[in-house]
Order: sequence, then structure tokens, then C-alpha cells
Amino acid sequence: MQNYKTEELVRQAKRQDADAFTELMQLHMKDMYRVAYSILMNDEDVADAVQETILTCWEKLSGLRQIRYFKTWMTRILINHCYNILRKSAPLTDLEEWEEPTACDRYNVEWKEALSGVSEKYRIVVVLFYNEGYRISEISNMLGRPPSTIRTQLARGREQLAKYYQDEEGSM
Amino acid sequence: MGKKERSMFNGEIEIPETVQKKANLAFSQIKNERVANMEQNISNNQDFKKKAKRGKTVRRTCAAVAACAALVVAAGSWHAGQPVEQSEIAAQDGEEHAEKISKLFMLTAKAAETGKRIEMTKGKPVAVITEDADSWVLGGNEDGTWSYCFNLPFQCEGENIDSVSYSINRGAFQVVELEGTSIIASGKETAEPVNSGLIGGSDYEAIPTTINYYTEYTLDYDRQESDATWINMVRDDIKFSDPDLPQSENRSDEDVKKVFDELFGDVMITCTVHFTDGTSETIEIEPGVVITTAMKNGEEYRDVALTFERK
Repeated sequence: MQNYKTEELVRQAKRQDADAFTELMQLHMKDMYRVAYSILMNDEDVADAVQETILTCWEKLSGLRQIRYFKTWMTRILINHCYNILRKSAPLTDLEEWEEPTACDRYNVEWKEALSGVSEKYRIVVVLFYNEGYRISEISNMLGRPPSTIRTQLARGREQLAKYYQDEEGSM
Repeated sequence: MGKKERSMFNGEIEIPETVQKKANLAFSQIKNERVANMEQNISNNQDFKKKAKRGKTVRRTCAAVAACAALVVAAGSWHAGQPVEQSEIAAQDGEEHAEKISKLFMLTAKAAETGKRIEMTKGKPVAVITEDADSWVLGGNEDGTWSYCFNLPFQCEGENIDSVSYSINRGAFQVVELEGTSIIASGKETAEPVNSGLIGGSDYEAIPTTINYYTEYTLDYDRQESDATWINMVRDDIKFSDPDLPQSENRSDEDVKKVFDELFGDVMITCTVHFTDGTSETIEIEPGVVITTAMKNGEEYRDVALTFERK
């Protein structure tokens, strides 16, 4: 769902207004962070992915035909950059190697810890659905996976989250 | 999904510094490329003119206009406001010609009615202060002369601007500042203070205020206004052709207009925009008034507003 302000900023940014573009991307910074982190699970790589996404969006914005799909378009670019980074570096499969959360507030730490309890291929689906509010069909489009796969991965991601919280409560 | 899981998605995430820093680098890169592209456009246009000077004929003016259009489009949001001036390219045979390309900028004034900044365009006065405002002081002196003090509302917006200067041909600028907070980069002070009213400063004795009078002053582009600075237009030597005119009651609108015509006379403020490449652009601003009818407590009354018009 995209609001009027975003659409107006996209229009201005398409006219090469760098300030409007900066404001537009800043408006979506938290969304980009959540999506990128769900794939990369470390802030350094997320920073690179976000930076590349900003530059790519600026370069290719003139090609975006339907302004109302800006966020979906931007998220897809971001996801591609995230997977490019994953391909270039060794993935963090071992939880012991997962970096400690940086000094952000309590919510960041909780969110990252909860996400760490979900398998890599389900994390992005869970974040796109629950954090970003995309529909199954939109997520299917973005990730290039059939809608039935997305539904299954979402269900499995939910199960893993529920198990993570159960284990959390059990250990208290 | 359970309550705890749902709450995980409802919190407010913080962007880590490392992510924001890299994002800021990307934004800077984009802005720098924009400036470089605009400069390249200007450079391309200058190259074209040099080729024209060597005798290539015909489409000089059209191409120059096209280059101007590219400059306007590239600058984005300025397209609605300012014309881009382009000096004519001199003709053939090695004749000298001056090359001057204006940068894009606009002068704005804060409108009385809305408090918002409005671009000043030629031929369209902007009403900035009404008679009952605190930023309007007008009165007679003991020697029969009149003086005024009006707060000035200007700000310049544009690209590649280093500083903005203002000068006035009659009276002076009164600059009232809380001590230690000056935004005046440089100025030419008057020999004597102007005996007019005062607008600005602090009501508290504990906060000292400085008052200076300039016939010209310059502000850095990035520091054109401050909550601790008031810049006013002042004058104290006005003599009316009819001494009774300014004070008479039941003046007609025409009389009121006459008062202000004599009050301002040929006062002109000159604004000079200094660009980072050493060039500058000058525009003139003329004060005036507009008289309107307004309603207050169910009664009609005359409202007089100070205007500034870009000439």
C-alpha cells in the first residue's frame, strides 16, 4: 500500500529531483533494512545491499512506468542485490557465527533474535508478508516462486517462529 | 500466529549507523553526479559557442535555447519559476562576445496571508506585512519628518550559490541580532544610525541585543535567516508634500496610496546572487502597498499591506 506522499516523491524523483529521491528512499529505509536483514542477517552486508539498491533505483527510476508499484519494484531490486551478496560470500549457516546485534534498541535485538529462529528460505517470506504487508501473489512475483510455495514457506516460517517463542518461554 | 509472534512485527526498528552511513554516501554520490551533469551541460554549451565563433553557422540560437531547456529540465523543480537568461551569441568574423549563463535561482518572500514563502516573479507584487503587524512601524518625528521600519521577508533559493547580497539606495537596513548570533557575513555600515522604530530583539534585558545599520550587507547562502536576527528596511528623513496627508482621518484609498508613494519614493532594494563560479546575478525589488477591504467583527475595514515587487 503506497500513500500519496510516496507517489508525489516518486513523480519528483523521476524528474531527476535528487532531494525528492533522497526523501523517498529515506522514507523506505526501515522497510529496506528489514527485508535485507531477513536475507543477509548481518548489518555490514545489509548496508552494502541498501547502498546498491539506492544507486540502482536512481539509475533505473525513469524506467518505472507505474508509480504505484514503486515499493514493490524497489523491494525486488533490493532482494536481487541481497542474493548477489549472498552468492559472493559464504552464507552464515551456523548460528554460532551469526553476529551479535549492534547497539540498537531492545526491539531490534528481539526482532533479530526471533528471525534467527527461522530458516533462511522462510525468513524473507515471513518478513515480506508480516512486516511489509505484501500479498502472497506479490511475494510470489518478487521471489520468483509459485504462490503455493510461498504459502507453504509462510506456514513453515510461522511454525518455526512459534517454536522459537515456545523454547524462549520454556527456558525462562 | 500467536500474540508474541505478532508483536515481533509491530515494533519500530532502528536503522543501524553503519547502514545509514552507506545510504548517505549513495545520496551524496547521486547529488554530486547531478551537479556534475549540470556543469557538463553548461560546458557543452560553451564548447558549442566556441565552435560557433569559429564560423559554424545557422543553428546557434536554437541550440543555445535547447541547451537552456536541458539545463532547466536537469535542474528539476525550478522549471516553473525563473527564466534562464542566455546572452546572444555574437555573429561571425571573430567578433568578441560576452558569454554569460545564469544559474537557476529564485527569490522568495514570506506572504502576509499564509506565512508561506512565495516566489517573486516580475510584475507580481507579494504582500508581506499588514498595517497591524508587529513588523510594521511607521511614525512621525518631532521635526515633521516621517520614519518607517519594515521587516524584510526575503530568502534566495537555488543551486551553486555562495552568498546573497542586498543593497538599498535610500535609508538603510537595520539589523537587530541577539548578541553573538550574527548571520551578517559582511556589510557596509552607515555613518549614523537611522532614527526609526525598531523591530526585533529580546524582551529580556539579560539577553543583549546588537543593532547595526547597513546600506549593503551579505549573507552566506546556507545562513540566510535565523530566529535571533531581524533585518528591517528603515528610513527617517521622509517629508510629505502635504504634512497633513499622513495623519488625516477618513483618507480615501487614493490618499493612502499617495502617502505610500511619497513614503517610498524611488526606494529600490538590489539583490545580488553570487555563484560558486564567481559570477553573479542582480535583481531589483521595489516596495509598495496594496489596499484591500477586509471584514472584522462584522464590519468592513481597509487593510493596507506592504508589498515587494521584483522589477
